[in-house]
Amino acid sequence: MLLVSLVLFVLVLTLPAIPSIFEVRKPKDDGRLHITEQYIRDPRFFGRSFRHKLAPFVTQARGNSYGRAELQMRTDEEVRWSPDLQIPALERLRGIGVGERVVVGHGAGIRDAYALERLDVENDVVARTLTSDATMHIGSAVQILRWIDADGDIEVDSDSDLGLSASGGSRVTLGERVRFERVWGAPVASHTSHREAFELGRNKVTVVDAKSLGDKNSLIFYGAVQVAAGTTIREHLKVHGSIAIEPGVHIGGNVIARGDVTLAEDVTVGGHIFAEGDIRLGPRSRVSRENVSKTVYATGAVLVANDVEVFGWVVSENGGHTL
Amino acid sequence: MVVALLQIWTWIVVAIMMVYAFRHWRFTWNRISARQRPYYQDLLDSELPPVTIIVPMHNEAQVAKKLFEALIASNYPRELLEVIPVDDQSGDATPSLVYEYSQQYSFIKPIYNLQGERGKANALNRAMSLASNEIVLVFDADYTPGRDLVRELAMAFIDPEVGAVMGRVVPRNSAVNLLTRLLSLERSGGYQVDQQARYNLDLFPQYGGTVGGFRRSVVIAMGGFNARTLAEDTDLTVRLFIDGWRVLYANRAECYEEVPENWNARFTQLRRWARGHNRAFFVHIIPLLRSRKLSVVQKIDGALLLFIYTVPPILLSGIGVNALLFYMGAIPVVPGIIFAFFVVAYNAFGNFAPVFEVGAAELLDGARERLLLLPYLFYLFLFNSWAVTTGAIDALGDFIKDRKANWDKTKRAGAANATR
Repeated sequence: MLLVSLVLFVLVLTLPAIPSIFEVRKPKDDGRLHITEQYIRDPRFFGRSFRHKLAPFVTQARGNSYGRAELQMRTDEEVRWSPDLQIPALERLRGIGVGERVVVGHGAGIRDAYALERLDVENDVVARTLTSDATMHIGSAVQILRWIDADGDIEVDSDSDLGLSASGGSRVTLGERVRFERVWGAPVASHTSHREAFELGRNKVTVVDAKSLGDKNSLIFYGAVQVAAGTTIREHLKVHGSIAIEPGVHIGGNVIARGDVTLAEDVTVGGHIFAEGDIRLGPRSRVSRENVSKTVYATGAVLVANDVEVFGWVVSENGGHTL
Repeated sequence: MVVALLQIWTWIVVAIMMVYAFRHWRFTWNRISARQRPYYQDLLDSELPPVTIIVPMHNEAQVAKKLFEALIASNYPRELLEVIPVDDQSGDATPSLVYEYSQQYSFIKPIYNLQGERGKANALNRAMSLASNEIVLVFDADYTPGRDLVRELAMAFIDPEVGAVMGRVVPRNSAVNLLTRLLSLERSGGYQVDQQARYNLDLFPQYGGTVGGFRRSVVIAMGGFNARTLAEDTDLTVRLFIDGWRVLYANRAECYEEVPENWNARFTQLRRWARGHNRAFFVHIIPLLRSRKLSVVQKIDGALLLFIYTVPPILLSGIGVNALLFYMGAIPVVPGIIFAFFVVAYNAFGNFAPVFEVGAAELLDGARERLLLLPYLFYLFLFNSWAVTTGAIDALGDFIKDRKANWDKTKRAGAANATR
């Protein structure tokens, strides 16, 4: 009886391991977990990579009045060159269009357009990607499916959707109700008619003002916090809750919140703004300064009022928009 | 009387296992279904802080070249980088290798410990006293950081509350044999689920001593690393939390490491970890529970973390006592209840991550057939329990006799230089 019990006990212990024997003897899934060791975070990665792939074609085609080739991108793509590429209104165009100057007509549907100089996109266009080595103008209600990148300024009119990523080498100006996920610019600026400050709630908050600040450079709080108008915080503000910042506040360092961050008007932040909730950037608020790049990052949405400037990156995991 | 005491002990053991089962179920549920707390790696900053990287080294000639090459290839601005390899009385070609690199690259500034006390804590203290920068990162010599990893880890310190940061460790040599495959599973559970969930829940993510970093001034103000412990990482984690600092976990700041390829090396490593960790438990449990800078939940999680290397000996004793009670005909409860409790308790089997937690982690990592290996974790658990028990006994001896433990380094297999 004891022997039978022991055999049964050993069997019960080994039974679950039997199906695994095949995987041990002839492994099918024993590779190490992949780490992209060469990966570098670059907000303009898409544009740089695209230009790099097209560079041989561009070098060859430039100076000619017409050029055409097949390029191996993710799939085979047809590339067409014309110094003044005009894509007619309402046209449906497959492949990549490249030119010194490119104009995409009203209502056109295209895949990729690349201008070595200025790129103009009229209203109601749908495009996969747009690239320019100079400036770019995007009309109203344009829908970008993936990304846009320009070495110079980018100007976006109202009601457009910038897709996954928009990056500019200099100023990126967003009009009213422009939707975005990631925008990089020096600065990312807004030009809308929304001039009212965001509402700042006053329920159950710790109020931070010049008096309560004392000699402290950085502040850490639990619960909701409201920073009183005109206060200057020399370094960082971290709050395990939401932060409301009244008009005219200056924060020299980073603003980090486990909840939302709301800036009224005329607030300046020298460092990053990082929120696990939403971020609202009120009228005339400034983040970072010229020649310095910082990030506004929200796990939720980023809402941008009029005349805001962010030098660096605006990342909105849940989709952001101007008002 | 004896039977009653044994019965009480059985209940205590089952209760402990159930507490851990609940803890790990909570973590797994959080990792699978809750919103994940972001880390700061998506922040770009043109004003990066200067960083010192310390590499403690003892007989690392087989693996160190790849680490140096990885650091040289890092995209962190070279002028903001200082690398301090600490050669800790190596008997192989490590000193000449370090010297060679320092001659070629001025940002590599080695220290040679020719005769002082050995050990990782001592090496870190020596390097810290010479480091130029406030942010200090630590890599063991068998690690190969990716190009963006230094930046990803350094970004943690934009947060004024952060005292230390920990990245994710991924075995490079997982395909070598069954042990490395099982260790790879265990690592996934420990990092992908356990550490991330503790970070999500604002509990007690652990600084792991490598692929991580800390604020130099804070550690120096706390008296530096404790040279009497073999788990300077756990020691630092707990001291930071007690002092009101936080440890961040960066799940996407991943780095390859080499795991032990033979059972003896693994046994030695685990025994050392258990010895150091249990010492940290003896020393810090009361200050932790008394700390005014931690919430009740953080104290509970911290205590459970400190206690984790004490659980295996307790569990083994519980199994032994149960067997004894069985043969004495004195199992104390009705079969239905004990069965239910043991089903729950069984879920806690696993020294660093129970089976279900590892399974969840592997699914998150996109595993397929390797999930078939999960039952083998039970055998690994038995092996680990034995190694940890010996380490716990060592620690108890150290604590009672106020004895200093010697650093017993894990033998490298040299996979960092291999192609697999």
